[in-house]
Order: sequence, then C-alpha cells, then structure tokens
Amino acid sequence: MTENFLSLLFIVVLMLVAVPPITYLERKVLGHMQQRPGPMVVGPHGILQPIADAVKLIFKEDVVPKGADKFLFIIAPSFSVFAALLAASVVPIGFINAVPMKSGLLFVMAMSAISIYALFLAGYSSNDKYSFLAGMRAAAQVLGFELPMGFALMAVVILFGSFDFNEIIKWQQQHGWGILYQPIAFLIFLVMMIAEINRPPFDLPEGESELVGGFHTEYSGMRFAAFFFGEYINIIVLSLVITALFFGGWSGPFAEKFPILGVIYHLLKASFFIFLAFWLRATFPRYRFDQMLSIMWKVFLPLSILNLLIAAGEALLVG
Amino acid sequence: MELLKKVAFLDLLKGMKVTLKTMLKPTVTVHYPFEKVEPRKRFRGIHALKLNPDGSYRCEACYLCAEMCPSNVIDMEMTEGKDGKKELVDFTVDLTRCLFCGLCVEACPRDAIVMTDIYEFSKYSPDKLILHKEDLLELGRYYQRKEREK
Repeated sequence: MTENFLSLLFIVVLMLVAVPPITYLERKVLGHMQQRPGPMVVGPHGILQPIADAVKLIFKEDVVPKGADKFLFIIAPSFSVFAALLAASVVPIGFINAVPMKSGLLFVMAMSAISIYALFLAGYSSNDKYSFLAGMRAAAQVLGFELPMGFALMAVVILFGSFDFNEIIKWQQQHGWGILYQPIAFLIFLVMMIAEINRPPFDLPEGESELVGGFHTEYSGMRFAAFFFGEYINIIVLSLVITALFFGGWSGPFAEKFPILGVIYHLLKASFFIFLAFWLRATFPRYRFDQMLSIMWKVFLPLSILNLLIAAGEALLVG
Repeated sequence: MELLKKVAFLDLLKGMKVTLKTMLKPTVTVHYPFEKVEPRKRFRGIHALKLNPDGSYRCEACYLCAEMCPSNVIDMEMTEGKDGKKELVDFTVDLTRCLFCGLCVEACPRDAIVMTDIYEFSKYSPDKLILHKEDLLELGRYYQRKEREK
C-alpha cells in the first residue's frame, strides 16, 4: 500500500517536474532545426527560461472574458491536467507501478480521450469565435483519430492477449518486441498519438496562423499554463505507452537483475518519442482540415481494420 | 512503386532527414544586444554636421537640404554675421519623421551634412529625437574621427 502510494507520488512529481525541462528542450530542438539557438539569454544557454516563463505566467492577470460560461471556462484547464495525470498514474515505469490495473491500457486510452474534452470545453465556453472554431475542430479530430487508434490497439491486444501493461511486457520479453509483429499497428498508433496530443502536423485545434491561439485564445496566466501541463504530460504518457506496447517497455540487457536499469531503459526509449514529437513539429506543415479527416477515415481506418486480420493470424501462430 | 513509396513514408522521411541534418549544423544567429554586425560602408544612420579644419561651420545655411527633404525633417535658423555672411544659429533634425533617404546629404554643396553609421538611437521621450546643432556637431566630430581612422 505504502509502496503504491510512493510510486504514485513519484509518478505525479516526475510528470510535473519533467514538463518545464521538456518545454525548454522543445524550444532548443526546434531552434537548432531552424539554425537558430533557441532560448539563450536567461542563464547559461537559456537553461533557466522555463523558470522565467513560470514566474511570468504566475504574475499575469487572470481574465475571464465577458459572456463566457464561467464554470466551464474555469474547469477546462484543470480537466486537461487531471485527465493527463490520471492516465499517467496507471502506466508502469519499470518496477514503479502506482496503480496495477488489469485493464491499464484501456484506462490510459479512456483518460487521454477525455483530456480532449478540455479542448471542447475551453473552445465552447470562451465566447470567442476562434476558440469556438478550435473546439469544433477538436471535436472532428476526435472522431477522426479515436477509431483507427482503437482498432490499432485492438490488434495489439489480440496479439498480446491482455490489457495489463505488465502482461504485455512479459509477452514481449518472451517473444520479442511488438513492432516486429505489428509494424502497421505501430505506424497507425504513432500517427494517431501525434493527433491525440495535438502536435503538428495535426495541431488543428491550436493552429496559431489560422485561429489566433486556438482553444486557449482567451486563457491567460496559470490557466494557460495548465493546458500546457496537460498537453506535455499527455506526450510523456503516450510515449511511455508506445514504448511499452511496441518496444518492450523496460526490457533490455541486465534489466532483470537490476530493476532500476529497467526504469532508465523505459524512460530513454520514451524520450525518443518525445524527441520525435519535436522533430515532426519542426519538419511538417499543418494538415488542412479536410486532408486530415480524409487520411484518418479513408486510409488509416480501413488499414487498421485489415490489420486486425493480420493480428488474428499472428495470434493463432504465436499464441 | 509509387504506392510503395507512399506506404514507406519515404518523402516524409526525406524531410525529417533534412531537419535532423540542420540541427547538427552551427547556428547562424547574431546575438544582437551582445554581438553587433558592423554597418556597411555606405550605411545611412543618423545625421551629423561636419566642421572645417579650422573649427568653423561647413554649413552655410543655404537651405538646400531642407528644400530637398521629402518629409520636412530639417529646419535651420540663421542670422547675418559680422562680415555680412550668413551664419548658422540652430540646425534641427527631426528624427521622428526622417526616412533616412540621404537626399539631404546629396543636396549639400559644401559636404556639411553627412550620415553616420549609428542606428541605435531610441530614446525614452520623443522630444529627445529632435537633434539640435550641438548634438549634430558632436556627431560630426564622431564621424570625422571615424573618417580619419580610415
């Protein structure tokens, strides 16, 4: 019991502490990919920039726009953070498993799907046409990515025979990494993951060039920061999930003997996917709305359903 | 073949290769307040008034520069000196209006008004941006010192 509580504390603190350095790293990576240095002034190589940002955001005026639905407007940012933290709590990192759950994968998917509701709530309650448009886009995007993502995961679950992360990784330790069996599911899940966390090229709900700031146009100060915490925690959680599903999670050389190595392996593997999110942002322009919906519905959905057949065949062969 | 390329995300991977390569290249940023780019040789910064070697004004208050100026920047005052010549009393340059075209410099028959390479002249109040004769002569000394260095 105390072990679980300590693990939970560790995960929540890890998630909250990891967000500022990740924002810093994102700006650095983006900068260097555009041949500029990124934040440079505050501290050596701008390393204190996240602290400066936090101080600025704390001291900003908290504005609730006229005509906004006050209750929903206030509740939306916390919705984003809490949904992301709930998802984080069931993902095991190495031996650190706060809430051992039989249907952990399902719970993560449910929670990260719910965190999208923060965008609708923010968009619809702001009384702002740009936020409203962003909310509508978020709603359409959810319809687009939830189905292929669900089918991709279904294929994986058929193969592994379990929703439990520990079981999934045990299976992979016996049979090899999931990506060897399910490359199509991996690709679909990767693309849908990028769409789920609203990162470019699928950042339609917050397209700065089209919708001012998207769903968070009217937010300022800590409420604005809360959205970012939610978004970045979601990135970490989904990176941990994708490594657990397709790259063997904490398995690796000597991980059986020294469990702490497993934690490090898992975090290192996940950090590649966090880097990938920055990398994609630096490389690709935003998809147009109809293009995004058409690839989701016309390419990825049929592909993911066909993939179910492959998964079923593999499950029969490998078992 | 085309389909195979699409399925393997080849063109997307090509783009990602470009960004990854760029990430490893050195940056090209000039860190402005700490590092500055030397202005070009013919850069047109704020104005200055040159002096003759004997310390008298080069400007003879002919008003040609004021006449040429498209945005009415230059204004001057003059009196009749002891020997009956025009003498400059004040020379004002209103930098709030100036567009740094350099027509005044080209118009000047005595090479009195010139443009320095100074581009950082923001002030806390707009009336500090109206330069008078003393400021311009100070800038002129700076300009001539630079000229001599060359």
